[in-house]
Amino acid sequence: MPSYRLLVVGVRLVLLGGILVAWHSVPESVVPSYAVGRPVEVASALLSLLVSGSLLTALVATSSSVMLGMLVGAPAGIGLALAMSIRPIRWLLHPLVTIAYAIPKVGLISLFIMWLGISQQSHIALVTSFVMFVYFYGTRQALAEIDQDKLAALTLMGANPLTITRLLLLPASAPHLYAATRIALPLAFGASVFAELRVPASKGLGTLLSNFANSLDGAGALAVMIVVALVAYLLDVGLGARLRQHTESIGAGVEL
Amino acid sequence: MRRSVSAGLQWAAAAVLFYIVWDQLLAPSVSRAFIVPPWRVWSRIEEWSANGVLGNLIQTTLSEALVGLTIGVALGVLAALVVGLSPRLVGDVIEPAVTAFYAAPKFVLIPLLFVWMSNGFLPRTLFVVVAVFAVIFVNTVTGLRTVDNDCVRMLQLLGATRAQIATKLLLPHALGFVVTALTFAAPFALTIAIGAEILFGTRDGLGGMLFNASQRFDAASVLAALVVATILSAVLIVLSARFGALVRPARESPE
Repeated sequence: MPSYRLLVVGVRLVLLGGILVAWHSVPESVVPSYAVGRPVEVASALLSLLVSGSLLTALVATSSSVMLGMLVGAPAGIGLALAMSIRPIRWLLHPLVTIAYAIPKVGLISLFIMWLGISQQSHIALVTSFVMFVYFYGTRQALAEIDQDKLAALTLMGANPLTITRLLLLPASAPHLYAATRIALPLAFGASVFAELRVPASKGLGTLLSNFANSLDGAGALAVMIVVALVAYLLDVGLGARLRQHTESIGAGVEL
Repeated sequence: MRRSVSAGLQWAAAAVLFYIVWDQLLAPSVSRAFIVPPWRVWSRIEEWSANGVLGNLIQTTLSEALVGLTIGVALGVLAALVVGLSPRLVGDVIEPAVTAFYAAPKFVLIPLLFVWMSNGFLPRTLFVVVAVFAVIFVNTVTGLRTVDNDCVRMLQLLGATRAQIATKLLLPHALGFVVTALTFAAPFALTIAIGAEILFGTRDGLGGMLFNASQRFDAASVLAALVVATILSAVLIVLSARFGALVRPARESPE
């Protein structure tokens, strides 16, 4: 129905225009512009962020924390799950993992500040702690669903661990790891921004935002918030996570 | 009886392992000042419980989380019902805005909230409301919009009114989604409340303790606050899971 889609887009544009006009015409005495920047100011703040290159710097800084945290957290979570498929290790580690899962992860930032200082390492550590559990539970589920008969058959026929991994483990776990990434990546982004808001070390989006807010630059702050929402939206759409069924199945109740 | 003994043994073994890694491996190689032995953390908690700080910390954070949770759930379900039961166009028009709002990290709102409302119980609770609202709203709308279209058409053919379709089909279907969202909304609200206290840089609550203790490099207090927060979170996780298990079978039986 192309006409219906056109209608949807049209109504969206009209609504957006209406909101912008209404927002523009709020008198300064009701809502001062240091609290909420006006559309024109926000647009010009956005433009100057783009031109000066500080937006690019911020995006690079935040995504480097995200990527490094994922790079540490994903193998750690997967490795932990693999290690816990061995019985004595599972027996020993299960209580610790259960407790670690319950820790409100945002609180860990206070530990990381003391251990790692006001540095990007604190951001990376927080992202890692968020991401690890998503991959841990994703891998646990993948392992639970492995066809035991196939595994027995492969072992009987003398397949080595490498062959078993290639023929059985990887194909079985791919969908779970994809689902885990779909959850972990937006989560990592949120964790990174949170860490940057608390620990102004790298020149990331969170640091940029808190600088604007501290200098009562409402337009700049709003511009950064729009960028953050846009990045989150693009991540969500890009990962195809519109219907969040997998959030429930992995039970990662840790969204920011 | 035997099971509880073996479980006790398991937890004792895990505690020993933790102590070895924490106090014998980590502490000497990192720093004794920041990785304090467990007994110092425990004595800090005892100190807090003796002078009444503990009750204060828990009460502040928990009341922000629970008040925010209650209001956020109520508003989220209500708004979702309005959107989900109104014509399809409404949902389609606001969809990108909802997705962006749901996906964006809510913590970016805190610097603005601070400028608007300064610091205190009200802005922190308001923030929990916003975060919980997003989770509940999106899950409930998803529940309302993923109803099997064939079922709807069949009911229409059988002459069901809109109200009948809503009460007999849409709401029971959406209820499952609401329950699932609820089971992770409670621990989530606690995390959000603590995160908000940290970013507001307040003096109150567990997050305030985490913030201030880390400012003065008081590792025992940071760890003690983390232990208390973890216990609260574990209690909320277990209660939510119980609640979910209690509600879910009752819903599935009529299908």
